[in-house]
Amino acid sequence: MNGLHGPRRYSVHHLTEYSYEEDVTMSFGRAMLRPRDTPQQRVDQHEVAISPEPDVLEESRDAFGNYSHYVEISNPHTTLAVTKTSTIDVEWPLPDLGALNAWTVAEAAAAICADPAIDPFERAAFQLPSRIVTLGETERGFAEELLPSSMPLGEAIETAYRRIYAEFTYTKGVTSISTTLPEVIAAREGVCQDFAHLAVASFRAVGIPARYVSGYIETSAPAGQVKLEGSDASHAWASVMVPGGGWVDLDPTNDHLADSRYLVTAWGRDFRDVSPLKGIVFTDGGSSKLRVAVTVKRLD
Amino acid sequence: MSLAEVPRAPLAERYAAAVAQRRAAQGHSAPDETIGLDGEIRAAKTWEYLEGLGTQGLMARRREVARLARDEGIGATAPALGPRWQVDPIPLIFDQDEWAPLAEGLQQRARLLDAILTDLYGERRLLKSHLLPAELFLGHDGYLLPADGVTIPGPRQLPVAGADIARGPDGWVVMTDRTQAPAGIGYALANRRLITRVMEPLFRASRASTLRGFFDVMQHALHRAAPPGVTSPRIVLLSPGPSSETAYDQALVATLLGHPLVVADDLMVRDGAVWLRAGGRRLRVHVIQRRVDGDWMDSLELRPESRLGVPGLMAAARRGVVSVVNPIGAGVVENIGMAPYLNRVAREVLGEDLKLAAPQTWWCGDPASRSHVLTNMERLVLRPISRSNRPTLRPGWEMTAAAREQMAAQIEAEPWAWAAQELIDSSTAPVITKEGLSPRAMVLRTFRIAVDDDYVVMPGGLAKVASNEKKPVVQTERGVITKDVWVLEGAQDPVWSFLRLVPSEEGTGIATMPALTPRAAGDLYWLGRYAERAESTARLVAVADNLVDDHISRPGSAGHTALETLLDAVSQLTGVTARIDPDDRQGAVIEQLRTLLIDQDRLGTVSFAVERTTQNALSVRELLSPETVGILGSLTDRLDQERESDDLFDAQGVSSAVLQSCLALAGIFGESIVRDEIWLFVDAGRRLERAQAMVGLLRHTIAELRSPVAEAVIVEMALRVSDSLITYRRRMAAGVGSVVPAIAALELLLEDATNPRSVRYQLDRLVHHFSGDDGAPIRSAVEAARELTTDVDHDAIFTGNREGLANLLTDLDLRLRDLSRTIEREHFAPQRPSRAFAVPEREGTGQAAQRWSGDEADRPDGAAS
Repeated sequence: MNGLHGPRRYSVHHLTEYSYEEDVTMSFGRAMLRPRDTPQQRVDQHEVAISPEPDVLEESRDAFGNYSHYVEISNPHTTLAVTKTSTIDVEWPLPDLGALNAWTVAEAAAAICADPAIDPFERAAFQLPSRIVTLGETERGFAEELLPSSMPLGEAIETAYRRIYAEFTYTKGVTSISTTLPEVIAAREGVCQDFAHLAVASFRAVGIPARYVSGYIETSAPAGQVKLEGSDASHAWASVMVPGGGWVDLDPTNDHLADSRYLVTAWGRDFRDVSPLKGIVFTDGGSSKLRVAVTVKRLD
Repeated sequence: MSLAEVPRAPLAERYAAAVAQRRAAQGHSAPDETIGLDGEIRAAKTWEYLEGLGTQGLMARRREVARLARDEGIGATAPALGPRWQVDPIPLIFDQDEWAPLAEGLQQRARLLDAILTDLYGERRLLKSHLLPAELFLGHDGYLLPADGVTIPGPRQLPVAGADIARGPDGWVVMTDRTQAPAGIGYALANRRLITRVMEPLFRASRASTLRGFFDVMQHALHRAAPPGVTSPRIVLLSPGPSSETAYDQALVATLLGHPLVVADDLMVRDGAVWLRAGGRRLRVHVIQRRVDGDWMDSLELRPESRLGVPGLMAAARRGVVSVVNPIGAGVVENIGMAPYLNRVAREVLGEDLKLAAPQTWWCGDPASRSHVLTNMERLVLRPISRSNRPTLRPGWEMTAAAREQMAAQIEAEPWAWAAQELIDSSTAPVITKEGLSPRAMVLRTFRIAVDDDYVVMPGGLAKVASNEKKPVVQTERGVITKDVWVLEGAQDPVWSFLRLVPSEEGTGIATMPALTPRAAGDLYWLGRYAERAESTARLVAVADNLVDDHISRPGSAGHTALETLLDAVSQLTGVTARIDPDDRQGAVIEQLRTLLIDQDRLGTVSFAVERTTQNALSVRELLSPETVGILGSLTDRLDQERESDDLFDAQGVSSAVLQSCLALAGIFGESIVRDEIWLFVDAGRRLERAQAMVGLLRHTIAELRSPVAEAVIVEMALRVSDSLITYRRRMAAGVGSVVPAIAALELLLEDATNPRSVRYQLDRLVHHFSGDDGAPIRSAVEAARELTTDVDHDAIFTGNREGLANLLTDLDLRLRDLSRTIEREHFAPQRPSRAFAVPEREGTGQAAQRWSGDEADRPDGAAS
């Protein structure tokens, strides 16, 4: 396993392509086109290509320090293609969950709450419910059963990814952007985005700040097959604040902690803060089709 | 009763008794604005004047004020002339000694809120240093993180601040801050205009500060907010739409400042900047004074389902090419939970003690405060920290035990979202009622505007009093009566007398004509069309009613045939069935005519057209004279009365009332407004409607061959409906035109360019209206219709069954419809529909695009109030 936590170098190629049935006469987009630096990763190069040529393409930093891009296109079009390419060096050491067992869930929540050195803005932003990470009775009930207050913190983190992975079925197409957490809990199925939200909600419900992380993961082809171009995916997972203000990233979709195969684009309170590409289009109607192709290639 | 027992000041003494009684009943000592705690009468001069009027005189003034408010359309919103604006004629009067310290407290509080707002979207030093708990803001739906780091020029990020304040036993306290997009500055001025009319002698004797200057202050602040380097900014007022609760207030502010009142569809972002759509042009917008809640301002970065804002606006604001006032996100400091912390923030940030505080408040995010709230709930007022969580005031003592339990559970689940306050025994002020003056709990909406580094307080405001005597607090959501507020002038000149607007480089400044947006142009056009439709339908009904009286009992007569023909034409033209009952019962026809006049729910009726006219007028009231809305308001009243009346229906009376109002409107548009774009679109609508109605009338009357006797009556009837009978007779007598009545009528009503009722005349006017460079597509559509009215071959079209005539009129009708569509397309077309999308994080490829849908309950609108 040591290799998974050692230094690695990756290139990521991410194409998002929208095809519209009718001409789009005006398109406004907000996208996370440039991965941020983190304690575990350094973005060496990054490039963006958009077609048709945008009238305005502007980068800014959001309240959480992510890079965010405004895209405006007035050229009528039926296909919008956004390509981002980055080269990233990662080294993501294995967190010491054993050490975290020094606190129970309740003690960790109290310690984080009382720590004057932790930025209160960040703590509150990632502790309170947000538009998608709701904390109703169902979510709280789920969280309290999953993460009892007396459970040691390291164990709790492991339990969260283990049990969500074991008890929820990964199924494409059963959930959408508007699926709520209680629906996910009831259906016991979903995709990475749903599981990340559920893990985030579970920690917030027991008083521990947690954030939603958007990025990529390197995947390998099924045994005996060759990995296909574009077959990787954009990915989402959860990150939990631990006493002292550090963060531990866990991936309930894949049943483990984050490691050097994980590439971070941005983080926020939930998907809405960091959606890779969202927009408003002006068009007379018709349907649209989305094609996403991601290739994560190891360079070393 | 001996003479000595007659009270010297019956009103005041009876009011003092009512105040004492109310205090006794409620078991507390709320102050009164006019009667001291010891029963002593304050503001003796005012009382002297009120005594002189007596209850009768005061009631008369109350009625007069209500009538004036109705005529002005205050409080009225489309789609109806809405709930009435209630104004009590007795003003609330402050002298300088009382006002000056209050104003100082208000200024300080505005500076403080500005400092907090600036910090929350900037360094967040107040959170990092634990002066304010972060949960108080991150748990407030007004904290819009996409606005992080966006600022407007100038030293203040909170240009306009409102506050509702109440006077308790220990002085003034702040009930609610209004920082989102404070409404009411326009209402305050409207009330002032009403009250100075009905209480003129008192006003003259009192020397109250005028309010007009405060609008110069607002103008100044908006100009100062403009992006750097813009000396002559274009400023617009963005409204959620004409049906917003405070539409009148918005329109009045826009009118007084001379800024276009716009809705989302009138604005667009291109090249990273904001533009106003005006005709075929687009004009840069530099400052947006918004009345739309922050979260609804940009569907790209904020609520994706919003249709009230402008996609891309947030990015434009971030680039600094447009300034939004108040800035998007300012709603976060409308936050009652801040109250316990404000004193220490004031000391830290301003180095001063807080001068104007809220009633004692507990924020439930703090554990100790929470437990206090939970154990004392029945004597506290529970208040959500955000105003979007309604109701905003929840008196604990009004709740049942079960409701309190539920409340406690809500607080435990989301403690940061709740606060609770001590009840303030707010002061009372007198309100005129039939039984004399009644003491009512009062709250005062005040306003401040940032001028450079400091805040100017409006010398006055909008007082709101409870709708009944028993209520201990004013709950705006449950209906209020308003009052004018007079601040008596002091020795010093008001601040704005020193203000000078920065002159523009071109020297035109803000005096340039506001551009007409597609929405406004469309509303004006439809105003013209519906006003004309109301008029022409009323004429049809009036003539039909006459014929009914004369001919219904004589089946087989020419008059009877004419009546049948006219009723058929009416049915065809309006879509409302009108025909003779087989038993020739007069009552049935009259009932149909009644429907045609006053049934407002049916398409095609006069009342329906009047209501649409009114709606369109209200939507663009900032562009019209107040008389326009007044005339329509009176007409609506008249039709309402008729609808509710049990008296015998008088079709002639009602239709002539409608015609008189329509003529009065036409008079305003014909004689009292300049021939600008506003007039042009109203007139274009009127012309097109008249042309279509005329073609329809001709198709359903003379295009069919009948016996000569019947035809003579039918022709006369058509001419009477068209107000052209006298001309026709004079021509016939002089031997001008055809001797065949139907042909002569066609000449006069279709072809005659000098008859203001003819189709030709309308088309000539339309050519003239759209003679500009960009009018070519419309002109060619007009020409296509006009050629059918030129060189008409009467012999050919009147042969046989007059099929040629019927075809000609059908073609003409089609071309007129095409013309209307062309005008709409060229001038009023909305932007294309927009929709939001977001790429989900889903492994794999080929999935369908996701659209946001129904993931949040839609509010009727994001109107700030």
